[in-house]
Amino acid sequence: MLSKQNIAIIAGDFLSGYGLKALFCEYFTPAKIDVFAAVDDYYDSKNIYHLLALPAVDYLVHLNRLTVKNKIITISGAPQRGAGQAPYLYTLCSEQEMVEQLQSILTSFDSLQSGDAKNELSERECEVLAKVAQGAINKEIADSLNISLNTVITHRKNITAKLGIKTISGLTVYAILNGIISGRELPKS
Amino acid sequence: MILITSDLKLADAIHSNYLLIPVVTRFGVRLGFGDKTVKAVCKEYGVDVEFFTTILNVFSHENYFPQERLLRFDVMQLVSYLKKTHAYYRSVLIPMLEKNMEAFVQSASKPDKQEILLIKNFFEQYKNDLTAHLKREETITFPYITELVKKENTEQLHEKYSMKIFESEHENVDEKLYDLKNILIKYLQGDYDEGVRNTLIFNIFRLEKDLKDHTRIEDKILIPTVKQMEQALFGSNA
Repeated sequence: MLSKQNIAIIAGDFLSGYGLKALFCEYFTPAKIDVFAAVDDYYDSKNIYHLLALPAVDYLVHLNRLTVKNKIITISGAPQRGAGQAPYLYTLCSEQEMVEQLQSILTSFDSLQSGDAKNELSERECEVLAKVAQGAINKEIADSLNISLNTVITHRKNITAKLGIKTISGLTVYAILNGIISGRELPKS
Repeated sequence: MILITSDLKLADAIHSNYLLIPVVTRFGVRLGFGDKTVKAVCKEYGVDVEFFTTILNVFSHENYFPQERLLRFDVMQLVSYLKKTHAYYRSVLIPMLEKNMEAFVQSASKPDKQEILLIKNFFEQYKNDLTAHLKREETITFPYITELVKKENTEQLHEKYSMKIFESEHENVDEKLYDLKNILIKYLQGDYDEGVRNTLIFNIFRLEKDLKDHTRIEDKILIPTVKQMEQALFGSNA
């Protein structure tokens, strides 16, 4: 759900921030999570975040400045006191209830995104992968598939992101396991 | 996991994180220390207690990194620890993974053996990368640091090598390990012994974690410490 997302938490007191961070990490494993003591520290960091959690009060005050637009969670100690349109977390509850609240908010965020990103390789990516596994360099791949060098690089980035495999020898193993190339097509080393 | 202090019983530290066992072993400390505190055990083995607790804590807590204190430690103590870590990889973790891998190949049914041999071959490549990396540090980096400490022939030495070179070469060797994990977890199908595969994956995670801490110590302590020494010896030419 959050494996490719960076999360920012703004929390005035260390324990709330740390607590929310621990919850996110234990139950949802985000890519990166940072806790800021104040809204200004968050702006100063200049990092890119996909999801922002902050106290309802801060949300109302800073509404127009926030760069994260549709994935904001407000935090409130009182039930039914959300701020504006953003979903809110009610904090006076048990761990179980808290996890359920978070999960339902995150699910609603996921359904906002159009078209689920599938991790299957496209036909073109398979062709590029086959060439990589056979030992071709980017220039050769570009020439043989009639695409630009930049396109090859983009395909390669996407392949690695989708498969979770970074090295050429790892990609070769994947390509053989999945019948994209046969073992006989390997370059002689 | 608890923060390890010199007054804590060493047994309690290990109960809180059993992955510390090989780290303790690296310091030459043998299990069977009863209820002795960290301080008492260190005294018995002639180990610097502050260095010992710091390394254990760095290993246990990802975000615990008292850089200032770490930079004060004697660099040869650090090198000696890193050397022992290398020896541990070479004599324990790598042979264990080799055994796991061999058992995994043996467990596969005949039609699937080819695929697993492919993965074994990939592992062998990784192993060669890793041992070459360890060897380079042992034959070049560590002796260089030792000479710097002795202040012998330092000018000549520095012409050929420096921490800058070490830094530029210190690329991640762990990418192949990451790939290997994903191949085993996500992509390998077929008929083989699951228990054997699980042991293999567990041990890959262990090696990965240990290497990560090892690299963290090198990047954050060894490099800055030695750079300070270079700066003192060679000034702006460092």
